[in-house]
Amino acid sequence: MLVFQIAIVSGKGGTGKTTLSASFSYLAKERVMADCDVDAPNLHIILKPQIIERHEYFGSKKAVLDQEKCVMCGVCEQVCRFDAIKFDSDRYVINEYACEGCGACTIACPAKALQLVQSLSGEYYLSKTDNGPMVHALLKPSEETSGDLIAEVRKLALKVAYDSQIPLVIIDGAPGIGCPATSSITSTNYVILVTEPTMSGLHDLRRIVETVRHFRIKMGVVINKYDINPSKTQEIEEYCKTEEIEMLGKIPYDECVKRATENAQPVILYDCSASEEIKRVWENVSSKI
Amino acid sequence: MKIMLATDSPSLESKISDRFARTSYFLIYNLENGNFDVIDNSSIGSHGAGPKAVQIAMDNDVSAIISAIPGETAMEAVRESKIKVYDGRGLSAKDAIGKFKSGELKEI
Amino acid sequence: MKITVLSGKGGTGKTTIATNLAYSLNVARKKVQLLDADVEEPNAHIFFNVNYNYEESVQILLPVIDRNLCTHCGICAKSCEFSAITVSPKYIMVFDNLCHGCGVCSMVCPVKAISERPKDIGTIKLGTTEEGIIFGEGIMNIGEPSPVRIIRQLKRHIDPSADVVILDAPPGTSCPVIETIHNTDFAIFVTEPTPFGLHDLKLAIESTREFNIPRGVVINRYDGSYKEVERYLDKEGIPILMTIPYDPEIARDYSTGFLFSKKGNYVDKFLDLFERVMTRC
Repeated sequence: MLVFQIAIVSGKGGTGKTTLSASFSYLAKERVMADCDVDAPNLHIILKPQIIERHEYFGSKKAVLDQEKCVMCGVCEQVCRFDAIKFDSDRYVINEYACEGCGACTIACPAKALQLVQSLSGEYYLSKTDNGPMVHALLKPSEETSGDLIAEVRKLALKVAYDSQIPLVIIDGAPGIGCPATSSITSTNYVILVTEPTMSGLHDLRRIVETVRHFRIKMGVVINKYDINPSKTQEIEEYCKTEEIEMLGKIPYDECVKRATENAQPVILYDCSASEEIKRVWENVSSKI
Repeated sequence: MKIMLATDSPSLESKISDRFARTSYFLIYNLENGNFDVIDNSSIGSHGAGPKAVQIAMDNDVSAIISAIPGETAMEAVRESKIKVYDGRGLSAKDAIGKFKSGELKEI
Repeated sequence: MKITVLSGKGGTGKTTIATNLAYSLNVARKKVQLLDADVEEPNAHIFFNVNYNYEESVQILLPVIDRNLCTHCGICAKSCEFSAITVSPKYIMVFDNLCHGCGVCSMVCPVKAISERPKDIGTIKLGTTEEGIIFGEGIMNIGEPSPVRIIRQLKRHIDPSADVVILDAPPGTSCPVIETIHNTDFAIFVTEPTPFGLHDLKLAIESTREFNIPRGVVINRYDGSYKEVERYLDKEGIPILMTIPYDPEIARDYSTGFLFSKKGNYVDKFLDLFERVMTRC
């Protein structure tokens, strides 16, 4: 059996990526959902997963100072280029938000009082939802997102798909255009790019298209709230045409999307124009599987 | 001549992983005698997985890598290292080695 | 008076609040400085006509390897926590975009084959808007790993003579947000009245709790139908500073880069918001 993987990504946050993912999760007959927006996950609000398995995630390293061993020489403060070590009244203190975990202080410390420690940065879960398994994660507040946790989420989702003979994984991708977004896309079979007709929407779309091209993955574009700025929408459509990227659909700005979100339900359970268009997009996408 | 395969589990029956740098295992396979070593890649860490994986390939003196498509930074490292990468998606490690020998794999 | 405007995630209207607040305070003849610290995606300038009059680059130090001295021992590659160097018997490669500029490689090289050169990772641009708002923004170059330094350098340009400094923070809850909020006097969280908005608001409030700075919330796209955000804030004792109605007109204005406080009575509403902030500091 082959598992088909679809990623839904957007560049800028707040463009309706999760709204679309949640609807697709109901429209697909059999699927494993993977929420790769580990920084501010939202998909679980609609899918209401019940956790079956918990896994710990150890992420970034930070310097930790053993006050007992510290000889107060201040070498660590001198070598730290991130202003993460400061003398505070009677001792040296590490600002863990500023520390980038480079280890310069641990190498320079003559008393071996500093160490890099990998800390528990979050958890990821295997859960069940009404219509299939879901893998999701949560980073601890103020931990930095990396491709690492996303890779774990995707690996687990794929494993579950093979183990339960489910031929489809739908990935709600990480926002942005950096490493987390890349990690959500790599080795998928199809990428859905969700954009909106704003100044920053098109800019981000171009960037994410480059990344998808690098991985040689087929893609299509959905314009959300397309009617709030017809001329920007046209600009996006022209861009897609020039770049030979398929236009999968245009979702109107619709009151019912807000109602659905408020009630923590997928839009496709509502009878409205946005819902119709989402269904049409899904039909189009599922014909590619 | 040695080749490196990015796999999901530590055996020749394993699938080639969907990920290059963040694969669970690397198999270092010796084409002359059919022996292989396993490298556990599960604690690759959060930074620079791509170059780290290429470093593993160089440290083990492999001439080719069979994997999914590497990311942009990893690809840069691969190009510089002159190691060739072949697309092994969808194959088992064993089949990938067979196809590599007969020249059927596509270079990335 | 330094105010940070932040939100749990993108798309809630953070920049909308920061820009309209700056505009309104300027109308009320306050001396206002607006700093866009969302350096990966600085958008505030879209809403103004900015006359830029100063620019500086943000730099980190990158390793330069003297290939005649290098013995290919590989110690630098092993010591680099970011895998920004790879070494083989024949090659040595530096990955500029992975390098954090920490200097560890040059520290550990046993034959002193590594020196350093500055590399631009971003730009700080300063200027004044048409209306007279003192404006600044940080712009991170594409592909750079860490925005924190750019934010730190941008904050060095905080104008001490300004009555109010408004910082537009990056979205999310991680280090760049912490860097922005550090040493400011008030935090305005922008959210929307949906379960998504509430969830992300909670994360944002959690991650900044230990800073213990006064704070309040603006609910954007408010129509009174979803009450959970208000319930949560009531329970936490966090004040609602302002609500902005759900209005397609405002969304349209945003998409064309128009400040909606230029219409109607929004300036007064933003000044009310500012009054509420002042009474809580």
